[in-house]
Amino acid sequence: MSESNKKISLISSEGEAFEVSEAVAREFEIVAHMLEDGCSGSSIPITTVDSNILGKVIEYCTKHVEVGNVEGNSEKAEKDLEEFDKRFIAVEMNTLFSLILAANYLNVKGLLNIGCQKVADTIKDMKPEEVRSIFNIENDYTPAEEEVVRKENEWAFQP
Amino acid sequence: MMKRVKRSKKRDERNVKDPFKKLPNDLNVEILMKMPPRSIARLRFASKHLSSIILDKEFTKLYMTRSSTQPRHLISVHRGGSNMQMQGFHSLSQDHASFSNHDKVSYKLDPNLPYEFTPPVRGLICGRKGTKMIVGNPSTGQFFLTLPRVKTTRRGIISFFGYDPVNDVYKVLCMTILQGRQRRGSKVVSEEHQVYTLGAQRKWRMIESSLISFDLISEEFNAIKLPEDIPCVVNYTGKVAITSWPTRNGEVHLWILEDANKQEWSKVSIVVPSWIDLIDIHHGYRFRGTLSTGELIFSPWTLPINPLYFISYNLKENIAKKVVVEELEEPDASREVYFDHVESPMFCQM
Repeated sequence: MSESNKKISLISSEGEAFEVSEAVAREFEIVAHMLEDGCSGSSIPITTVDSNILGKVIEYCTKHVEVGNVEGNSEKAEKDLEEFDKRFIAVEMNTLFSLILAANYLNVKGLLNIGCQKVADTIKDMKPEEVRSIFNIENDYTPAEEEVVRKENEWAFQP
Repeated sequence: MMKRVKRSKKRDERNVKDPFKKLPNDLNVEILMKMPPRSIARLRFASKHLSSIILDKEFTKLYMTRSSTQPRHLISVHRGGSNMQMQGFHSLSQDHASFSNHDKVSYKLDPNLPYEFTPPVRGLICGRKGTKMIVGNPSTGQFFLTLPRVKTTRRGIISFFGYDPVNDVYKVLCMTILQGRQRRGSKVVSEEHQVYTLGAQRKWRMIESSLISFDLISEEFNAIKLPEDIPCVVNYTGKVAITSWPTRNGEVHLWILEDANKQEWSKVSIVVPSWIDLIDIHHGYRFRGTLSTGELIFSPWTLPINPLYFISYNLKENIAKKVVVEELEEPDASREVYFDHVESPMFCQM
């Protein structure tokens, strides 16, 4: 396909250009829509995403396009991709939330899904205090309020 | 002036630190949707911001819409003991491929009160011990409602729990009977009927009527004459049916209520293929009804049963199989499996 040889530059919020194949750029649904609307310029500004995160999103999309192009042996390819996703999303919390925001903005559904899943899995077995400290959540309950809430909801804290 | 600017800036910074405040609400919801109800219930106490998202009625609705496409087996476990009774629930995916996907919730109940539960309805479950009844959410572990005691001098009580989708309320129906507990084949003479609506006035209302179908919305009974005196009422592919006990060869006779107003019944007999190979001849079985996915379910009711299992019959493909739910860690605990449980994060504020 001649289409996949075409290169497109994605410009991060710092102005850094990332050159990718059109197939990879199309993984960003927002870019795919732009291209379909005839905005076929060779460079597309992604103003809300910084270089670090944009680079990662491109890495994710590149891998998924590559695997999607391989024919046959789909079971192994799927397993590999799962492994890749698992490694890819094992990042510290700030980066994880930035990836989620970027995936949402660029409309990369697979990445959004594994990002949200990672946050959910991280929180799942935690106590409220642990969630607060890991995510820097300000405790907006006053100590008195918290005591009442806890007393009324002892059921939630049973092992 | 300077001071003010500085303070508001500091506040902004602090807000920005909380990643859940940075995310648009629909993404927070997306994250919560991927968590089991038990975890969601606990997360409520992390911050008021998260609590407000979790308590939003729309969130509960959305969660239940999604979980109704992924119904689960709900297993109630009761552990006896002279000084401590433990009641617990756990659920597992009804999709057999992912049976490992356990979700455990357990909690203590009143000592010496082993509740008998009726099947879960739209995420909630109702338990009764004598004249004492409770309603709760087995997925979060919140048992939020102790119903006022049923006032009756009669010994036997039969209770039902249902959901009225028109008015979006849960109701409990209690029938008190003269003859004591309903036994196989015995005629039940129902004498009093009381209805309790969750969220309404905290009292039982007496209603008039005689057996046997109860319209949960209008609260009217309609007398339905049974074509044959057989005891079990089940859901057969979405219709009300009464069923015989399976024979040794796996034959079951069903009377299906085709039209409640005209009282039209049709008779069906099913023979479960390879029944003899699937069952344990030491166990008695009963037909439990039809799963949302279409399989007919038969479960053993004589104890002890280990591992926990049931027979699933796919009518379309005419294949029956034995499905092992789990090996029991504590064989003396008693347990019951309920099917098609829809998990709900519903939270009830006292």
